[in-house]
Amino acid sequence: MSQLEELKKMVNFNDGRIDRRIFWEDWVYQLELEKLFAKSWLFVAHESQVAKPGDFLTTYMGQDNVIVARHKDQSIHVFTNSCTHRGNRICFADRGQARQFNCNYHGWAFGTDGALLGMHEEDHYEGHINKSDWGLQNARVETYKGLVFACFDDEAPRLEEFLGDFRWYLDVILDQTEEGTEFIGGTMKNMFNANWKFGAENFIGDSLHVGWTHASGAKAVTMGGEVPEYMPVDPESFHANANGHGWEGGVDGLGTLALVSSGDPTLVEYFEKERSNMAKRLGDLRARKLYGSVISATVFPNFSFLPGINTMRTWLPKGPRQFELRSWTMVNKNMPDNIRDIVQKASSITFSPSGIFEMDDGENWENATLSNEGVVTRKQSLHYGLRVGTSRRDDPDFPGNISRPMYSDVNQLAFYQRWMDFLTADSWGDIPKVR
Amino acid sequence: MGENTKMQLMSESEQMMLWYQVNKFYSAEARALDEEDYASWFNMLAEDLQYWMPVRESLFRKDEEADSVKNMNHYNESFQSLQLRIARLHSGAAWSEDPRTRYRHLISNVEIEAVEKKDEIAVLSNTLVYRNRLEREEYWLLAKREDVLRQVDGSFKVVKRKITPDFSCLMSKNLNVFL
Repeated sequence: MSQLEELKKMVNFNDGRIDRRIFWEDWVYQLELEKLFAKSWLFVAHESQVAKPGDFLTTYMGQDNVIVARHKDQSIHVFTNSCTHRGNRICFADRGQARQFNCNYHGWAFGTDGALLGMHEEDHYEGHINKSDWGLQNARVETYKGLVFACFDDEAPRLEEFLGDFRWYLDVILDQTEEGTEFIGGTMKNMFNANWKFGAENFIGDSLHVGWTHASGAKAVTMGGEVPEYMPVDPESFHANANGHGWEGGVDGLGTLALVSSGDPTLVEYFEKERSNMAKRLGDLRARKLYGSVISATVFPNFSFLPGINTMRTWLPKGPRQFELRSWTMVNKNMPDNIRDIVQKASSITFSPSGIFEMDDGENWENATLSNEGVVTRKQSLHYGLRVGTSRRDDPDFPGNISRPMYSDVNQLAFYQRWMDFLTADSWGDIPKVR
Repeated sequence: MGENTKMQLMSESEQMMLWYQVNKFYSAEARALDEEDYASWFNMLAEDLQYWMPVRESLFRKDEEADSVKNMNHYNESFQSLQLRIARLHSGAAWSEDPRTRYRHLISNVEIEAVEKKDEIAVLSNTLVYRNRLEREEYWLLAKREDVLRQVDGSFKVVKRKITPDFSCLMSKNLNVFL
């Protein structure tokens, strides 16, 4: 059986069964790098991180290290961070200001658009190099309301088409105000000995882990007060997915804001006041019922966020059994300092490596990955069969594929459907534009 | 009078006695953290505590900037928010802390920098924190600590602590420890 045929059998979308080898095998991982990460649009930065010409940061697209830089003409460029002479890394800083990037090895210099500008002792090269042929590999770059995405594949559709109906959901956090959003400074980084997909699929739809995995965090927040023993099933809560991107959560407009407030009414009061302005931009449904609810979301393949808690994060693959999490807190530019401070602290105390919620996730994902070292263990497939096949595309209120309530594996399977679309396609021509 | 001048006015034996008392306090604090004896630990913290651990980054020397609480932080805590963090552990539902993590805190390079107020001292120290968990999980954390200690009833309470870690990327899945 060819690898491709073997791969196609690894996810049974009708029954909701997944072969554990997708979280373990090196060959599956190599396919992910070649056919997914080198072909898909990927989140690389927020515009506020490279606000001025010369601002740059370094990050990864798959395992390709890239420089994201604001060029002097204000355009944002994303290019490989590896010298075209001997391959050495060019930029070793996480972020900063640069007019050009000089390779430490032989002094080859590249512009903030990735072009080769020159080199040390350049006279020797006269007649031996056409510099315009030896720039760094630029990715395509497009932005969506402050978020910068890049893509290494010329055949990929425009970013707007890639995001599709999911833009309606992204707007809930990106388009609340005229002024837009920004990331607070610095980047939180930490490592997990786990497969990157566990982070992405957890945020895209895993409502059921919240009440159990995070019971300790929920009890801490109430400081010994009343905690419901189980989460009541709100029949209005939902899974939404579009093109492999997904959003899961409630419609009470309050759950997350109450959670991060820990009894301090300041944040809730601020947003109650802001909601009428938000509603002018987003409509009542999104401004009053979605924003503030307990929600988590993933932009396919590896960018996730929590509206309200405002942690934004990317799961960077480092092999089938390791990933690096990079995370930021996003705020509205027009937030007063005290609200910004509350959001920042709330994000840190709940969803950061030391956060009382996030702290419990890593051990689950690591051991869900590492238990597959057992050859017998690895042969038993996993259950992804909760409310499979219940999503509908014709919801009167919500775009995308909708399933209710939010306790299901619907979004997770939609994520793996998109994942399978990419891994089994020779080119973008084989990938459905809409899912 | 400059702060360091005040230190210089202390006799050598007075400075030695202060250094001994601070070390004794740090050893007791380290033991409380090793043993997850948070009731004792909170007795060593002032109620107006500022407990801060910024995120480090690799920046070109020319781009280096002062740490700011306005950037991403591992911790930016008050006495009350630390209590909330500990409440998670005591909830009886912290599945990922059962079996327990084995902790070891080593404190060294203690230098008493300056006497700021009459009853407060500024202290520099290094800390090495070891975590071992389940079968083979092993993580080391190294950091600089800059404390302000308040002298209370013959011992101290931590009023301010800035923890400057030597890592930019935390090499583990979480930070389930105080430094």
